[in-house]
Amino acid sequence: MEFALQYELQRSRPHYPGFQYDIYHQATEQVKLADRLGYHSVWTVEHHFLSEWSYSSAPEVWYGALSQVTSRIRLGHGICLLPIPFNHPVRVAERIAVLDIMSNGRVEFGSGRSITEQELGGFQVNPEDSRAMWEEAVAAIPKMWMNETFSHDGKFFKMPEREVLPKPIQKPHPPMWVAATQPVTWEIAGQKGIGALGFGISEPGLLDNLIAVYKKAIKDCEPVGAFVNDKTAAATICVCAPTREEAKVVAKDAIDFTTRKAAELFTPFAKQEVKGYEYYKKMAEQAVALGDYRMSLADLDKRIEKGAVMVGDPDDCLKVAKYYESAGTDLLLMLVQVGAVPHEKVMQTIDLIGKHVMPKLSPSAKTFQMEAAATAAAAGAR
Amino acid sequence: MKAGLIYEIESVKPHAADHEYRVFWETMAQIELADRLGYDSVWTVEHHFLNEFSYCSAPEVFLACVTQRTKQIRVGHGVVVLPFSHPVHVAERIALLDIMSNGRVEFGTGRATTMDELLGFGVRPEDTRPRWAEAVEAIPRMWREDPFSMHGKYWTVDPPVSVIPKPLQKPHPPIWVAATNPQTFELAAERGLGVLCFTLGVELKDVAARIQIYRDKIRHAHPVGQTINNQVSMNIMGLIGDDPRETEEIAREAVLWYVRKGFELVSSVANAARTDESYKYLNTAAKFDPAQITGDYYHFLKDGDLIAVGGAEQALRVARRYHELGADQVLFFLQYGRIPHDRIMRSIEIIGEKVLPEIRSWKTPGGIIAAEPAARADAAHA
Repeated sequence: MEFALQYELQRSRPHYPGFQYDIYHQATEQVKLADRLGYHSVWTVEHHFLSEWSYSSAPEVWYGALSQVTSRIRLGHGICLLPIPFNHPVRVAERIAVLDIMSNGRVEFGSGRSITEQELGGFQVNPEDSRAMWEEAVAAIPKMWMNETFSHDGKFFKMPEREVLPKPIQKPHPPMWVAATQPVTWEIAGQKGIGALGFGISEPGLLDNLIAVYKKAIKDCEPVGAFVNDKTAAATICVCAPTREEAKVVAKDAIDFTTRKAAELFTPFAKQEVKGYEYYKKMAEQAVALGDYRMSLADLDKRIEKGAVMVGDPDDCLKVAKYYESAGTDLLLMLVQVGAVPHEKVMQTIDLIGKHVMPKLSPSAKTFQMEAAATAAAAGAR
Repeated sequence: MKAGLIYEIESVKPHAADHEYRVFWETMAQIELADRLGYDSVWTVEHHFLNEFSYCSAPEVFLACVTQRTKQIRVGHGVVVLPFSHPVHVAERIALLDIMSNGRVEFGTGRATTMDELLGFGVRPEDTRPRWAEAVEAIPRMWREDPFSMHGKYWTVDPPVSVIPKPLQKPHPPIWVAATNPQTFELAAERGLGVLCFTLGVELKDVAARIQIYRDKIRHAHPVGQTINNQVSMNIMGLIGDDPRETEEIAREAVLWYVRKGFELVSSVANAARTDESYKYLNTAAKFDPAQITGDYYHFLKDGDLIAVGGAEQALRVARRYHELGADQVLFFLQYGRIPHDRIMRSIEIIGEKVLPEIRSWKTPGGIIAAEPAARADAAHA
């Protein structure tokens, strides 16, 4: 299993002047540390309008910046929104290609369709169309990368023959992934032969079934890309400190915040039936039922024992990481920057996990270095 | 007067396998040199599908890379093609680029002038100007109004949203528009926007007349933003070297290649069966038969001070002419045709050392002043 950072670029209230600047410049420092420690990748969402929850509305810009201050860590869109009002598929293909050139081939391309009413409404996307829009775009983009010219006559976009430029330097193209929250998306990921980025998994035990669904589907996949990216990833909140007590104090408010805020974000779906979003109605109803629930430190202990959150000292975190590894996850996406966890505590988490957890699990410290050396050699040859 | 660089990011055939990679990284090296030498700004276009002519299809990514490899140089979009992206996403990208560059963004806007691009994105020629007008009014409003909503002809944002993050520069980055067409100088002035003159091949007396109209009209601006950006920027295509004769030999073919290619591209809109009145001015370009763009045309450009080729004194002389015309800024355009990377580096060095100090001592008529945004009749209402 590989280790990765996953960012919402979050900051719960209270806010102060300049906090948005701090989010970005601090997260950049965090990724630089992860790069030095040999983390596999960093992933960032694309969300719009979601104050507190995510300030990551233009991940392509942050990634451009990150590509120049890191040298090994891979840069993953986790994910890029493909319904056309958010991003024209041509523009996505172009941006990924330029980023691939400027990062010396370090891009991972994750995509999705958006799961909040605020965003779908803000960009005037009919929720019932969002999956079909994603499907049309996700099939088109690898063709834009691989073929000299591209034309398209689909339901949601049409274009005459054009040369989409430039092309990515990873050949045949960067690895492709999709955000998977509900079981059906794990299946779709398998069918399309792309990696599944598992979000919203409340405990590793639930993963077994999702990964099984994925593995079954991928056996008979019809890949949208030029190769099958048979990989699964799972996201979990992670706060690591020298002692569990310390980690719990830091993590508690952040976990309460994410629970409360997620409920708020999904509430619109709890109130109505939206085709294709029924799953979120259930999630939202559960979350809303929790109300203004505040977890006790004892509850947090229980969740740590269950492996529902990766919180504690390095041994606690190692145990949770092992749950994920035994479930068959290829990549652990650690949400280290959540709620209002201060920058120095995030740095501490990245440092401790990198030094005391990763080496005990990641079989690939060696593989990774070989990959990095190969990339560097390739870059040198250019 | 200020001085910077502007890029199309070109790569002329025959193409080596890694030509795209090379041109991006060579451009980066040139910009890093310009940053060290104290150039005021670097600008990149946004073009799509224009093989050879421009590989800069995702300037938001490339400029984000630039922010991390430079310290002082301002980073300009010259320009963002507003009809091709959702205005919310443009506002978000500019804000984040501003954050990552520590407040060095210049926000240039435009509408596209080639049929290849318009049809590629399914935008009708008659819609480009109203789309631009709607977006350029809405974007600064997204930065100052929270919550924000709009009900335009092309875009609706409702229910109201928070467009985040916000730019670092207060009240917001300077806003410009690309102007070739005389009428655009007026549209710029009415909105309190700076003009980026893309007037290659237009005689200086005609440019002077347009600038005069701009200066007259901008006194009665109804600004879209919270500033009036009363500035005129002019491009100086050229090549400066140690041996003027040899420099001219290299530049001549490259200039002619660029002019032929450029005319071929823009004439597509003027000549299209269904075009818009607002593109008719490009007929002057369409009248040129590429085969007739020969040595005579090169001399027309050179004798008319429309290009600067030779030693440092040529750059200084042309810059002085533009200063006399009323320009506040000149942008050297040095990377076009087959001019080799080392020649461009040397040009940047000579201009930086011998021309820049003098240019920057010249006083100019324009500048940025604080203003109250005005209600505009053509604005999308909240």
